Amino acid sequence: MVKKVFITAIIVFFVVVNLMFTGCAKKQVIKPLQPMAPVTETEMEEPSLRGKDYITVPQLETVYFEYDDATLKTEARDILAKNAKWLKENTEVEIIVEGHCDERGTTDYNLALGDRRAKSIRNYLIRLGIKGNRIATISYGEEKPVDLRNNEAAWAKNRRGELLGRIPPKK
Amino acid sequence: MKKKTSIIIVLFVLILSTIHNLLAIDIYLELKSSGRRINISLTPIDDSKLSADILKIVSADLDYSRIFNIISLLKEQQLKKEFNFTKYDRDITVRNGVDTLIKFTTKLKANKITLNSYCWDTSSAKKIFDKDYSARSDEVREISHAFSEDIIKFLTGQQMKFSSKIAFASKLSGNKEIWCTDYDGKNLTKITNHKSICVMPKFSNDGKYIFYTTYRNGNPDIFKYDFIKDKSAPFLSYQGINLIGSVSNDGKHIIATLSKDGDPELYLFSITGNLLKRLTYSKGVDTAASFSPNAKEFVFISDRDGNPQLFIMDIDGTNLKKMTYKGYNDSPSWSPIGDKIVFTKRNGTAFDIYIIDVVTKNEVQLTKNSGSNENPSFSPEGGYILFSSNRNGKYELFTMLLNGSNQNVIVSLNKDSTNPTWSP
Repeated sequence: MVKKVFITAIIVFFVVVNLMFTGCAKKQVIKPLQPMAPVTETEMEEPSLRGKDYITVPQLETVYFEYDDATLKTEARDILAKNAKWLKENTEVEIIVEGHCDERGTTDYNLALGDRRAKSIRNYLIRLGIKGNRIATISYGEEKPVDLRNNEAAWAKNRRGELLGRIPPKK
Repeated sequence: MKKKTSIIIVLFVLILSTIHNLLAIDIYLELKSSGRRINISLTPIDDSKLSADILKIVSADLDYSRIFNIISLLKEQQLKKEFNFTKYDRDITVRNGVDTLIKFTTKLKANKITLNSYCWDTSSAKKIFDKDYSARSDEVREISHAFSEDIIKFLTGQQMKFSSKIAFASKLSGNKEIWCTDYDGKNLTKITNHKSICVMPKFSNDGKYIFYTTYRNGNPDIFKYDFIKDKSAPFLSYQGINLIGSVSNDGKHIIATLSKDGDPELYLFSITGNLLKRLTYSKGVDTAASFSPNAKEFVFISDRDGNPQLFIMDIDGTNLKKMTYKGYNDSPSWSPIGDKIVFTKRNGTAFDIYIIDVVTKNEVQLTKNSGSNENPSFSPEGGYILFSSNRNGKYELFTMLLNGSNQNVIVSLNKDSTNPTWSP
């Protein structure tokens, strides 16, 4: 008897509970949108050069360009491969790539061309496995020639990409 | 019959208006000094050095305008030193073919200059105008230019500005700084003192500011110089290059070249420096923008097809038109009159200045066999072209007329003078 009442009670309980929940629509629990963790591209992002002093590093060789051209020739790529190898061995070093032009052409166009030269070196170094956040760029256009003469030999020396380095202070 | 005629008239008007609309193009008024020049004589009625100085400046202004011949009278033909147009004056001026006579006198008192002037038409002996001026004693050039501007306005109705300025870059003081002179190359003033590299100055449409690029803060940023405050402040400091292209005539927009998104591309800014729109998306260099006088389109250079060439685009980034196809063309500057663009073209290792008609794309060479000639820009009224040339060894600033004639040095310093630009 007691058992019967107990079973009935349980059944009634389940039916009631069941009714309670089927009566109202199943509430879907929607979590409020959590702000996504920002995708960190900082490893690839170009660092700012402001307030930083870069110095000449003898192991980092200069590469040269053709007239009105920002593409890297075989020789330049070989030099950059050596530079990249050194940078992999010296991971504490950050660099800046300076794009320079010869004096022919306008100030404006040469500043733009120097920028493209610096960026093509930066992109090649990234392809060789150097993290982008170690490589800043700057264009000096025709403002900093190494050879002031007015002939092809001088111009060839001035159309260049220089790599300078620094060791950032520890945080 | 009457009905038929009126229908024909209506049709005719309709067709005419359609043709008119089809041919609707911007019309620009041109300051032309064709025909005979006005023979003018200026006579100070006192013997002061100040009057002699002002006479020199005003004569140079009037000569530059190409509207006047300055007639100098002989010693024995001196006019009466009084503010009258006497019969004696009339005989002498008419005999010398003088159309217009101006007499003036100056006074220097307590650091103040006063200038009184009278102007007569010689054949009718009628007064055309009289006007008085005053200025500080250190404003001799300013008072002279104001006098010149009025003479041209009263006699021809034309507005010419002798207060316009020329800005350029030079290492005269060691580092490359921005320098300024008056329109005639006089009154050399150093604008910046960054002790860094400063290049590519461009004036605001009201001439009150100069935008330029400097490495003052390490990166090539655009700074803005304020003439009244005599101060420079950073204006655009994006990562990568920041180069000023042009300020629109209506004073609303600026186009600058930035490389923050990769390649050097053109961006439209408000005059206050708010980024409104990226204008170009091509691979390679897009730079050197120069607004058209109606401020709705601009010319720029792009090496998207190989060598740099001239292109025109609307300021919303649409309606791209290629202007040049052959060679290596750079550094365009749109005439304030509207139908012409000057630019440089590479000829071997040197550059020469060319002028291209915006409609016909017809090119005319203006400099030849005279060193490298670069960075052409127009005078405010569009009658002269300013450029830099190294024909005499170092880079000097020259002006010439639109047909390439009258090539004269206006700025020659001990160091190169480059990137010249003329204020509006």
